[in-house]
Amino acid sequence: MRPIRCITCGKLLGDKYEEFDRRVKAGEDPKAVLDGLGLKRYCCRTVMLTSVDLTEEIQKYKKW
Amino acid sequence: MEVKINSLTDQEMELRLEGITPAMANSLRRAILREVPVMAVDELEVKLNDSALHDEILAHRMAMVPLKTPLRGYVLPEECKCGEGRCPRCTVTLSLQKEGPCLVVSGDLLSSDENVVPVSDSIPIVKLERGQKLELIALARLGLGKQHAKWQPGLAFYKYMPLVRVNQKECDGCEDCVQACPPKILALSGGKVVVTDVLKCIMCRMCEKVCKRGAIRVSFDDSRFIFRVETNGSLRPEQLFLQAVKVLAEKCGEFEKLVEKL
Repeated sequence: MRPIRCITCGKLLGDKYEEFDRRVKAGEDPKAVLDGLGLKRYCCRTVMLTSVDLTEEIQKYKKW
Repeated sequence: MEVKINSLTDQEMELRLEGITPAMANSLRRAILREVPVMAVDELEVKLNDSALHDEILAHRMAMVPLKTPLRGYVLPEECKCGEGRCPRCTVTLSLQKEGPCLVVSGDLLSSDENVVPVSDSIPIVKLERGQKLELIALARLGLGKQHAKWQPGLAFYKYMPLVRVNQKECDGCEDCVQACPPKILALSGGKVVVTDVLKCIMCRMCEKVCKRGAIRVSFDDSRFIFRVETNGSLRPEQLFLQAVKVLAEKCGEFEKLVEKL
């Protein structure tokens, strides 16, 4: 799962992924979306741009 | 000390503090980061966890969810009379029961106190596949930022008031500094350079470097500060600032008493 808080500064990012992914997928410039979400620092912006959700990969090998 | 609010939103506040020393501004900053108690999940009772994440990772993710914190009504578990940190005066329970396929979000947490709820309802906690179950009870308690970052109510930072002086006699209006300034706060007016918005100055001194006549000087005033407070939503920024001032005043009072004893 992607981080809930920014790894460096602790800003809450968890509630912003959905909107970010949706808008970027729709073809908007990531820069504009990040600005729109109010992420000014490059630490938060990096987390938004580079974090990858691997839970579905792990799920494949999970037995329960 | 003089305080002026430059801007205020639900999450952020910008203040102008005047007539204080750098040491005092820094102790305010540190009080905000370390000494203001807020709620965070502190303990997890996992009854059933079929998800792809281990219990520990789940606990970490739960702790990262900021919780709205009322200013009154709760005490730190160390100061609570119950001694265990499990009574309703110091603990809030958040329960969760879900079965996949679904995305478990912070809004699924059922709190025992309607005033202590996640700041946002759409924070993803874990994904569940079909048939996977998750059942847990989380105990949230007050805590201080110095114990763990999950109890850090927000961020605070400041800069000195920048001073940009243009020597009007020397300035020949060559516009080099206007071009070089990264935040673009210099402009040409009547053949001379003027500063449009000194608050935006980042004190990079590019203007000094490019000015051949040495007509522009950048310095700062260390008795005036631009102080920014950002919260993660558990408290409002002005509440956070006032709580920090209160904590600092209490600590000074304690210190005074100790010194008097000597």
